[in-house]
Amino acid sequence: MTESWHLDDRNGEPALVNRILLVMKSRPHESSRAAEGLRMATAMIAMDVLPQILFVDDGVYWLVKKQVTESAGNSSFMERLKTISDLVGVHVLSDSLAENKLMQEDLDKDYKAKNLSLDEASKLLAQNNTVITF
Amino acid sequence: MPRLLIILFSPPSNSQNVDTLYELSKAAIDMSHEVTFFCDADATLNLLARQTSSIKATSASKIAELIKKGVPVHACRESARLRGIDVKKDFVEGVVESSLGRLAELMEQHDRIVAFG
Repeated sequence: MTESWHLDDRNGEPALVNRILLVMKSRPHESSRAAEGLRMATAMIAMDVLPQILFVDDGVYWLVKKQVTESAGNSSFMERLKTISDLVGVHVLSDSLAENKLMQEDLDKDYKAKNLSLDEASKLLAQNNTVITF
Repeated sequence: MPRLLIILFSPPSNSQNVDTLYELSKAAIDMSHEVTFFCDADATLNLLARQTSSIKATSASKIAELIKKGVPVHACRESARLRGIDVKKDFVEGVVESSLGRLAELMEQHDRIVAFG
């Protein structure tokens, strides 16, 4: 794994520049877990710590268009997801779409999700030194 | 001094995450690493001072012990609020009232990050 170093404010000691990947694998209606991931992504972006985001497994349902999420209390999160995708972009694992019998046209184009093969997803994982799963 | 940030998402009772992180933190401190804890979402329930357990030390007592060893333990105030927790009264002594914005800063300031939950 390639690691880059910089000097921070702690007496000139080197600190690792953390590259952080947030992996969303929970359905939007299933629990508050994935919503917590979006909250974390928003906070990170606000603090200029830019994460990468990958939707896998049931997490791909976050990207499906025309979802009715108000009753689940997730309406604001869909707006938040659109903002996050505009700012840092999002990735989706093609295999997870296939497993859930979802086609590209089922996804909301506003999210501009970039499809990744398993090989590409493994490269994305390797590029990041911290992976947090939601 | 190497810095380790531990992020916890899971509540007490349904996992052994706090037991694992307690031992991991003690080992890291013994190796002269600096450890910081951040409790997010359901993990804020680990910090409730009034927890009891008939079979083992509570997660709150283990975390309180880490605080006494000098480990900064942060709690997401919004996660606590959503769970009806009063961060000023309900947590074990020494917990730092914090936020996800502060967590992002902590991520930048630490060499390694591990997330459990």
